[in-house]
Amino acid sequence: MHTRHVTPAWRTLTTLLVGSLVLAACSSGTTDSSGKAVTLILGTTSDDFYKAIECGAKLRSKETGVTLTVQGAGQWDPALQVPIVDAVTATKPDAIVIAVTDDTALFAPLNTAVQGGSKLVLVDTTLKDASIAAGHIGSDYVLYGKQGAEQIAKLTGGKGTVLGIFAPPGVSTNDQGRTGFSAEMAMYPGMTLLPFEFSSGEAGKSAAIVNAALAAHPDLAGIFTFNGGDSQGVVTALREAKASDRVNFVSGDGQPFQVEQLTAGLVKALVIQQARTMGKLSIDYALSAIAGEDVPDETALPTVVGNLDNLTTPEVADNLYAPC
Amino acid sequence: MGNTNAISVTESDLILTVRDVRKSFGRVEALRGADFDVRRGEVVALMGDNGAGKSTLVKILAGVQAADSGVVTLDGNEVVFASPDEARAAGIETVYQDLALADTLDSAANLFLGRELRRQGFLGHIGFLDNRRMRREAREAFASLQVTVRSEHDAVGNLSGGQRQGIAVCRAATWAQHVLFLDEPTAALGLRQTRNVLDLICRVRDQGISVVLISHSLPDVMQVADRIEVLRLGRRIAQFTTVDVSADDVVAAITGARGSGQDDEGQDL
Amino acid sequence: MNAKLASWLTRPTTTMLLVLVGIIAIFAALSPTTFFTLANGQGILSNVAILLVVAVGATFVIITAGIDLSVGSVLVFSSVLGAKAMTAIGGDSLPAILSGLLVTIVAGGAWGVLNGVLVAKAKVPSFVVTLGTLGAAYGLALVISGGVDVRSVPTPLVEFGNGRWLGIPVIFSIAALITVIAGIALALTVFGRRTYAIGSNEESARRSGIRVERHLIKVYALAGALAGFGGFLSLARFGTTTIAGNNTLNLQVITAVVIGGTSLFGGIGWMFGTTIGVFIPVVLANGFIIRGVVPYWQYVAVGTVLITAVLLDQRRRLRQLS
Repeated sequence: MHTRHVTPAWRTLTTLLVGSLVLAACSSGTTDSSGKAVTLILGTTSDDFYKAIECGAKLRSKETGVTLTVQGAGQWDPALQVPIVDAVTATKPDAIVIAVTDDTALFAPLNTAVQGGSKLVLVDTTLKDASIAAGHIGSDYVLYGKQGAEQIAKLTGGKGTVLGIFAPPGVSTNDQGRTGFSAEMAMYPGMTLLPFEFSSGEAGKSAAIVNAALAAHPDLAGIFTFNGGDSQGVVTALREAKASDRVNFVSGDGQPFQVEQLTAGLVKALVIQQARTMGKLSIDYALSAIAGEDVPDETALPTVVGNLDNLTTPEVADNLYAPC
Repeated sequence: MGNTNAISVTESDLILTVRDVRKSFGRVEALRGADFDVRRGEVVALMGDNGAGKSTLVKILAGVQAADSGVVTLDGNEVVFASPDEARAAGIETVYQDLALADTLDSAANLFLGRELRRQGFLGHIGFLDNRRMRREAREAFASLQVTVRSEHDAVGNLSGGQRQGIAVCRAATWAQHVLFLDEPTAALGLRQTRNVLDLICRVRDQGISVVLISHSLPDVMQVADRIEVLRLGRRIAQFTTVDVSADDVVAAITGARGSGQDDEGQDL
Repeated sequence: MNAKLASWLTRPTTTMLLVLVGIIAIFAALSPTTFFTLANGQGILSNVAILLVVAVGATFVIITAGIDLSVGSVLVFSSVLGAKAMTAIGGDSLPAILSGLLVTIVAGGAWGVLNGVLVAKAKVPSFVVTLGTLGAAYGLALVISGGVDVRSVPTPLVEFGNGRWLGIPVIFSIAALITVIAGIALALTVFGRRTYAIGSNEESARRSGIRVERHLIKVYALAGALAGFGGFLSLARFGTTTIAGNNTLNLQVITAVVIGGTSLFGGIGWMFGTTIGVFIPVVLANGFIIRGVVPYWQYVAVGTVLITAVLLDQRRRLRQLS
């Protein structure tokens, strides 16, 4: 028979394992029996945009006595988000607020949650079949794209070649953004809109796209990115090509690093979503739904254009993405 | 354990003969017309200093390499081995120094490695193992050669060096039909384990399989081998019958010091 | 039979089984009405299914002392090809669904064969080979799909993928069946025995007459085919391809296999262990969410269990060498 040697390493590990389980036991938090339980499931936990939504939701929850739990996966992956929804469903929250990572894959598990009695509010992205949700809060994505196009037209004087970088088709927010962007672009006959390029907030990819675009179109006058994450790649590529002044870059989203880029003149304007308001409203809608009241099916918050002129005004400053 | 006194050499006594085999690797001539004889039912030691050509000869006979020229005869038939599989199919097994055991498998699994027994009927057809039969036959094989395996279910990696050697030799002996080559079987073993392996070699011979013992250890060779053949610089330079020769003579032949014994042509060295 | 029982008790897998039972017991005690419910159990089984199917294939590969990093990409590629096939044949008919099944398995198997040939014949380390096919399969999936998820999966298939038999999610039952068959093959057939032999000592296996190259190709092909089938199950469950996802599937699968007691050094492993290994991270994540633990601690917990499993394996190996 083998004798078991309890080595120091073994002991440390056992402690760690038991420790994390004890953590699981302790961190259930205090349940305020009078307040409602709402779980917020983010698109990813690593994006400032979702952190801003979370901040708005947290502040509102404190005001209204809601017990808010926040969950999310580290990556934008429906295969990772579905198990989270399943587990959250088991906790039977009064309401679930979620930014779905896929408009089809998340339907079944969310439906199960709704059947189980939880109310559903969709924030940011939406389901193809949103009938199971009390309501959806997003930005006016068509306006989002339109404003982006407007800014580029203004900056370029209505002339030149323009490139738009969006997430691949299938993400409802981006699809609508492209519609708005194209429609506005069509108003300027002096501008040539290149075929859309696709990147989902991946700096490396967007950098490569811009490199190629600059090579193929030396007269490139303007670039618009829908997703904040792509902004980094565009700025880098423009800087490397020494084209930061020549090419007018308008960037969607208002993450902290984007604000820095704006201040440094590498980005000419930001199109900012009212993320905190989204978070705040989602709690209000969740409470209304729980109380059985009507909630608007679709709420599209207008986006706000931010530039060096208006950066400090409350309308813009309050909506810059930041955790709290 | 004993040394047989085989005096007369007739052709029918020889199970394996090697005549005038040559092998070069580029400009290096490893074998320059080497000869080698193995008789039925004997233990013959193949000795020689480093570079004498022992391992090359063994590789050729095991089918790992092909000779440039020469004739190899097995059981009266001329043979050429294009691969180790052919050598094994012809009835020659080799146990190299690394033992070629699968350390995470048990002794029965190792015995039947590559030759697994299947169940009868349909199940066997689709590949189901007959573990019970393999265990049983393994037990019998080990018993017949008096190899003790401490635990049937234990992975052979957990067993001692001596037991592992015993299993490797027993495996080769089980499948060999004519000749078994052992490459430095006692090199890594202690005294008691060495004695066990030497006893095992005798038992293998007694079961009718000739054993070719490649070894640097003169004491081992003097103890267990019936005859000794010495290679030097790619040729056989001496054949001894163990009982008739002294250790010094053998050493001298290996190192090439003063003339000792006779070479194949019957000439004094 | 005492020796056999003893060898079972000291297996790392047994420790992991106790860990799993312990985790379930703790969460059940802490959250009896939310964790320990039929609905939550069904959810866990659904989330285990695809991971399990892919982990079965990975078990064979890892036992041969190899590794397959391409499984996530192969799954995505196969699901794209399968979805395209089903759309091409059109409609909700059975031929369409069966064509999807065939295409996903063959597509996955083809990548597996490529992996196997490069590993076995070209003698490129499996880590490097599968890293390459990881990129290639993903890239081809993007090329074929244009970067757009294919969302037209036949409705009957989606109903099937989300359905239940006798209270158990169908995809889990299928995964369990595959696991049992594969486990039996691994433990009781010549194919399984030779898989262990090659992982234990490839040279020894070769010298024993085992056609090592051919066997390795079969093993990698099996892993690829199972990843492809995982793609089919994914289509059935989600009703869409998930091109952007499955990035960490390869690591999740390897973690599960290693937690289950299979050694990364080859020659040792059990399908039963893989099953436990798949459940532990899924149950941990589920329980943590139910307890409201900050998501990041889940990674810490899974990492701890993985390190424990590897250390146990190390101890077992050192015992062998002494």
